[in-house]
Amino acid sequence: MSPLPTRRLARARRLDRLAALCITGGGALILLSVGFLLVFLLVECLPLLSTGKGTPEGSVGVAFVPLVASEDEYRETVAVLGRDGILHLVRRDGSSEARTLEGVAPPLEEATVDSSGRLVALRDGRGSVQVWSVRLRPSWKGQGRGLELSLKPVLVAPPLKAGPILAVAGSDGSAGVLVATPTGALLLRTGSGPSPVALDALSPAVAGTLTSSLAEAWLASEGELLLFEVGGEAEVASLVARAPLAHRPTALGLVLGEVTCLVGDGAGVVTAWQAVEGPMAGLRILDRSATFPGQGAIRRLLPSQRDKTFLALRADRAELFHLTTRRRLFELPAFPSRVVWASLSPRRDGAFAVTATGQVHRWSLAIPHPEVSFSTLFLPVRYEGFTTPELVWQSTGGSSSFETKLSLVPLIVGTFKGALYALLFSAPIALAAALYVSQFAPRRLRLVTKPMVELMAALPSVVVGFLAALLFAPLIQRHIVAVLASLVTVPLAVVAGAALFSALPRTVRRRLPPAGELSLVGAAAAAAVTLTFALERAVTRLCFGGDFQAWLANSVGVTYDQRNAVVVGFALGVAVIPVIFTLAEDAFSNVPASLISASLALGATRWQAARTVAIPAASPGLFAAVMIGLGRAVGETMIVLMATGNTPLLSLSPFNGMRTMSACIAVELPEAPYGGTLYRVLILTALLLFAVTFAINTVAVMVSNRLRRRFGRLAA
Amino acid sequence: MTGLRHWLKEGAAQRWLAGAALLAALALVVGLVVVVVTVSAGFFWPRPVLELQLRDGSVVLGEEWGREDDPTEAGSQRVRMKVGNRDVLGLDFRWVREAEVAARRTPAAAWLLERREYGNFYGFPQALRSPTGSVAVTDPSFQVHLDHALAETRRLVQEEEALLRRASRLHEPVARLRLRVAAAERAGRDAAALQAELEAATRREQTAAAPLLAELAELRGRAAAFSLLMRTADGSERELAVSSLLRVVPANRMTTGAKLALYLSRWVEFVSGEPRESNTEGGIFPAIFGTALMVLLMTLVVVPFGVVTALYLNEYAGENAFTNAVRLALANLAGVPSIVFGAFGLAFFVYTVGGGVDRLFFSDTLPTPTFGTGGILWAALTLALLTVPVVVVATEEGLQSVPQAVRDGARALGATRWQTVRRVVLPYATPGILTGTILAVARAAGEVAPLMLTGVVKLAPALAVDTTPPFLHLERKFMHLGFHIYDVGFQSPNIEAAKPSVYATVLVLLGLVVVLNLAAITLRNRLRRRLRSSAV
Repeated sequence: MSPLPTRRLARARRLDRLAALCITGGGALILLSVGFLLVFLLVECLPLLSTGKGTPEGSVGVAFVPLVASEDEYRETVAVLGRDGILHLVRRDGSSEARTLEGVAPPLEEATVDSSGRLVALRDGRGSVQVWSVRLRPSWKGQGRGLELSLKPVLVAPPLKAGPILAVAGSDGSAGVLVATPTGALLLRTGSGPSPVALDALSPAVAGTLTSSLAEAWLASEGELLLFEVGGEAEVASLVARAPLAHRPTALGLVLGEVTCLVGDGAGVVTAWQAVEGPMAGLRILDRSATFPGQGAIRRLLPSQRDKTFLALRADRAELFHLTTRRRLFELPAFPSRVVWASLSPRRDGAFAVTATGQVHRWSLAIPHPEVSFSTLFLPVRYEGFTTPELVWQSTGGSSSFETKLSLVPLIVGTFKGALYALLFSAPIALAAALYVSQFAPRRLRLVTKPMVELMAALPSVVVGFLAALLFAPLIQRHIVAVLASLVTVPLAVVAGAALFSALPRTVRRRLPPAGELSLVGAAAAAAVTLTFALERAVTRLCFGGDFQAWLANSVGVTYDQRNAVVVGFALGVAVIPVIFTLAEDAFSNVPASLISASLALGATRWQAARTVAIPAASPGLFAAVMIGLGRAVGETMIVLMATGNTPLLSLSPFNGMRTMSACIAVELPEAPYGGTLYRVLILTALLLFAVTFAINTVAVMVSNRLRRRFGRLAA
Repeated sequence: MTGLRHWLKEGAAQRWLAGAALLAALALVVGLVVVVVTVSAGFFWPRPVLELQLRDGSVVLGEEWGREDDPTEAGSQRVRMKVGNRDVLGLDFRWVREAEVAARRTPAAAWLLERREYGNFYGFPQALRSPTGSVAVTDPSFQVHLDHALAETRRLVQEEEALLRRASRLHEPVARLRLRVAAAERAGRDAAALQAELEAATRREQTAAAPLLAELAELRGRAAAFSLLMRTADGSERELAVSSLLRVVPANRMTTGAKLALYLSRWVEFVSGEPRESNTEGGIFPAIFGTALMVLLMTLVVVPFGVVTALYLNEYAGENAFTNAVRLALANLAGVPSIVFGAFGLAFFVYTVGGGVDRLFFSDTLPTPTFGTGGILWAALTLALLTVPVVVVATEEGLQSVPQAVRDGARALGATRWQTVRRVVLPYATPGILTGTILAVARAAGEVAPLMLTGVVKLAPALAVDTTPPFLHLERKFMHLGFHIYDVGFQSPNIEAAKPSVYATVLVLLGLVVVLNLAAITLRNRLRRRLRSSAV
C-alpha cells in the first residue's frame, strides 16, 4: 500500500482553509452591504441636522471713522464709507484704496445701505440727502480676476429739513430714500412721478423700509406698523394697512422676496409680518406670521440676498435667524463692541462688521441647510403668503426668492394611500383565490395556476403601469359607473349563481366535474359584467344626470382626475396579487392534510373545514402575506409614476392623484444638485422608505410568529 | 330562514366567491398578456390607405387609426386618420367625423412612403426623376426604374455613412491633443510645444478630410439626382428625394403574401435598427443591446457574489448569531424597494466612487464628469445589489437538492469540505445557479426605477461597445427596454405616432421576460423533482 502523498494533502488542506475564509467572507459581505447601505444613506442626510456655524477671520484696522460698508460677492474687498466722505476699498490684507465722492461735503452726518449692498444713501455736511450706486464688479484678465468699482450718484436732493434717513432701495436706474418727518416719512425718488411723496402717519416714523420696486413702503411709528402703497402720480402715498405693535419698534427689514417685513423692537423680539387679503374683497390686513424671541434691543435687521436668512444686530452681538424654520441658527462668535454696521455677504458665505474704532471684522459662514428642520419636514409650516400652517411639497419655483417647501407628509400620505387602495383591491382577491386553490380546487388546477401567478409576478412593473395609464385609465374614466357598479353586481351575481346551483338536484351536481363548477362561476361573473356595462348608460342618465364626473363635481365637490387612486389600486393590485397569493397558498398548503381530513371525516363541508381549520391554522402565514404585499405596494415606483397624476396632493379622495415617496425620488433626485438641500431631503426620503419596509417586514415576521405560537398547536 | 342559514353554513356561496376571486386574478394576467399581444402584434400589419371625400369638398388620405363615439353628435362616431405628411400639414393625425364623410374609397394607386424624417407620406405617385431622365408612373418600366433608384440611393447612403465615420475617426488625435493642451494650461505648464503640435495636427486633419468631404458632396449630389414626384390628397405635388425613402408600400394593391413579408420586414427593422424621430420610429436595437450588456455586466458581479453567499449559508455556516444576522440581512435586502437601491447607487457609486475616480484619473476633463455621472457600470452594480437575494435563494434551493448521501460519500472518501463543494456539490447545484441567474436577468430586464438614477438615457449617442479603444466604455450611458417604454410612452412629443413603437417594445420586453421566466420555471421544476426523488 503506497503512503498518502503528504504534499498534496497539505495543499488540499490549505486550499480548504482558504476557501472557508473566502466563502465566510462572502457571506459577511451581504451583512456589510446592507449595513453600509444604511450607514451611507444616513451619513448623506445627517448634514440636514446642523444649523451651521461661523468662524471669525480676524480684523483689519482703518484710519478713518466708518459709517457704513458693503462687501463684494467674492469677499475680497469691503467698501467702507467714512465720515470723511471718501469710499475706502479695504482688502483682506489691510491695504485700502480711496475714492472720493464728488459733490459730497464732509463730514457726513449719517448713511445707510440697501439690502443688496449696492445703494448708499447719505446726508452730507450741508444736509443734502444723496444716493450713490456702489458696484464692485469682478473683471477677468486671462485667468486672473480683479475688481472694478463703479461709483456714481443716482439721486441728489437739495438740503431739506427732515429727520434721519430710514431706508434706501432701488434697482438699476431708479432709487428712492425714505426720510423721517414729524408726521411720518417722505420718499425722495428718481425716475418719473412726483418726488418727494409724503407718507402720512400722524406720528414720526422711527424705522422704515422700502421694496426695490419703490411701490411699497413699510413704516414703524411708536406703536404701529404701517404699510403704504406708492402710486405713480399721487403726491401722497396711500395707507393700505396698519397693525399695532406690542413694543416700541427699533428696526425694520424686508426678507428676500419682499413679501415679509421683519420688525425688531427694544425688547429684543423680532416679529415677521405680511399683508394678506382681509375679510372684504380689496381690503388687506397685516398679519403677524412669526415671532423670534431674544434678549437685547435690535439695532438693525439685515436680510440675506440668497435665501430667507437674516442677521439681527443687537448692541453687543449678532445672531442669524431663518424665517421658514422659525429658528435661531447661531450667533456670530467673537463679536466686537461698538459696531456701526454689519451685514451678510452677498453669497451668504460670510459676514462682516465695521466698528466705530475703525476695525473691519470678517467671518466665514457655513450654513448648509437652513431651510430644513424636523418641524418643516413633518409638521405644518406657515409659509410666506399662506394664512395658516400647511403641509406642502413644492421643491422648486420660478424665481430665486422662492421659498422651498419640503414637507414629507404629503409624500408619506400619498404612499400609504396608494398602498392601501392597492391592498383593498388585491388582498381579498388574492386571499380568496389562494383559499380556493388550496381547499376547493382539484389538483390539476394548481398546476395551471401556479405558473400563471408566477408569470404575473414576473411582469415588469413598467408594462403594468404603462397599460394602466394609457389603456385602462381612459377606459375606466369612460365607464367609471360600470366599473364601480361591477364591484357590487359581480359578487351578487356569483352568490345568486351559487344559490341556483345548489337548487339543482344532487345527481346533476355530482355529475359535473370541479372544473365545470368553476366555469359556471366564470359564466355568472361574465354575465354580470356584461349586463352592468350594457345598462351603464341608462343608469348614468337616471341617477347622475348623464355625466358622473359632473355630478361628482357638483354634488360632492370632488374632482375626477383620469389617473387617480382607483387606477393605481388596480395597477398596483396586479403587482401585489402574486406576492400575497404565493405566500398565502404556501401557508394553506402547510396546514397538515390530516387536520382537514379529520374535519371532513366528522361531517364538515369543505367550506366548514376551511373556515374552522385551514384559515386559523394558516393565519400567521396569511397575515405575513398581506404585510409583505403592503411592503411591496409601498415600495413600487414605476406603476405609481405612470398611473397617478404625480401631484403631491394631500387628499384621501379616491378620485385624485397622489405623489409617493418612491416616485418623488425617481423624478427629482437626478436633477437635485449634489450636496444641496433637496438632494439630502430625497436621500432622507429613501432612508424613510427603507425604514418603513423594514418595519413592515419585521412586524409581519413578529406577528406571524406570535400567531404561529397560538395556532401552531393545530398545525403541530 | 333555517334553509338560508343551512345553505350559508354549507358554503356554496363562499366557494363560488372564492372561485370568482381566482378567476379574477387569472383574468387579470391573461387579459394583460392578451391585450398586449393583440394590440402590439397588429400595429405593424399593413393597413389600407383610405381616401375620404368630405362634404366640404376637401379630401383626406391616410390610414384609419382608431374610432370612438363622436362627442358632438350622439349616435355617430369619429375616426382618427393618420394623414402623415408632417412636413406639409404640420400634424400627422386628425379626427374626421363620420357625419362629414361624403364618400370613402380605397384608391389602388395610393402609396405609403416610409421616410427617414417627418414620418410617413401618403400620396399618389406621378413620376420618377433620375439622371437618365423622367419616367411617368403610367410607363410599364416604372417599377423597374424605381427599384433601381431605391437600390442605388441605398448604396449611396451607406457609402456616405462610411465616409462620415472615416472623417470622424480622423478627428480623434486632434481631440486628444486638445485635452492635453488644456490640462497643461490648467497645471501651469508651458503649452507652447503642445499648441504647435495641435495646430499641425489640425492642419493634417483638414488636408486629410478635404478629399473625403469632396467625395461626400459628390455622393450627395448623385443621390439627389433621384427624386419621386408625388401628388397629395388635395392635389398639390411634392418632390421627395429617393434617398430619404426607407420603404415604398403600394398599400391597396398588396397580396396577403406581400403584406406578410412587409410585416415581417417591419419587425426585423424594429429589432435590428436604430431609433429615429425622437424614438417614435425606427428600431430599438440600441435599447436591446444596452439591456443585454448591462445585464451581462450585472451577471458577472451578482453570480459569484450570490453563489458564495449561498454556499456560506448552506455549507459553511453554523447555527449562530452571525448566520442569523446574515439571513436577516438577506431577507431585508430582498424587501428593500428598488428605488432605494437607485438612490444608493446614485449617491455612492456615481457621486462618491465615480467622483473619486474622476479626480484621480480623469482630472483633465473636469468639470465634465467621466465616471462621476451615470453610466452602464454603475447601473450594473446597482442592479447586482438588487438581484443578489434572487440568486442566493435559487442557488440555495439547488444546493439543498444535492442528496446528502452524495455529500457524505465524498467526505467518506477523504475529501475536504472545499473539495466536496467544488467537485460534487457545485456541479449538482448548477441548475439552481442557472435558475437564479435567469431570474436575476429577467428581473433586471424589467427594473427601471434604479436605472433612471444611475445612467439610462432616452437616446445614447454611441453604444458602450464599439471599435475605438478601449472598446468597452464603461462610463457611457445606455438605453434600456423598460426605460424606453416609460420615456416614449410618457415623455414623447407625439404619443400617437409613437404608439406602434412603444407597444412593440412592450411586446419584446414581455416576450423576453416570459421566455426567461418559463425557462427558469422548467429548470426549477426539474430540480424539485430531483429533490423529491432523492429525498428517499
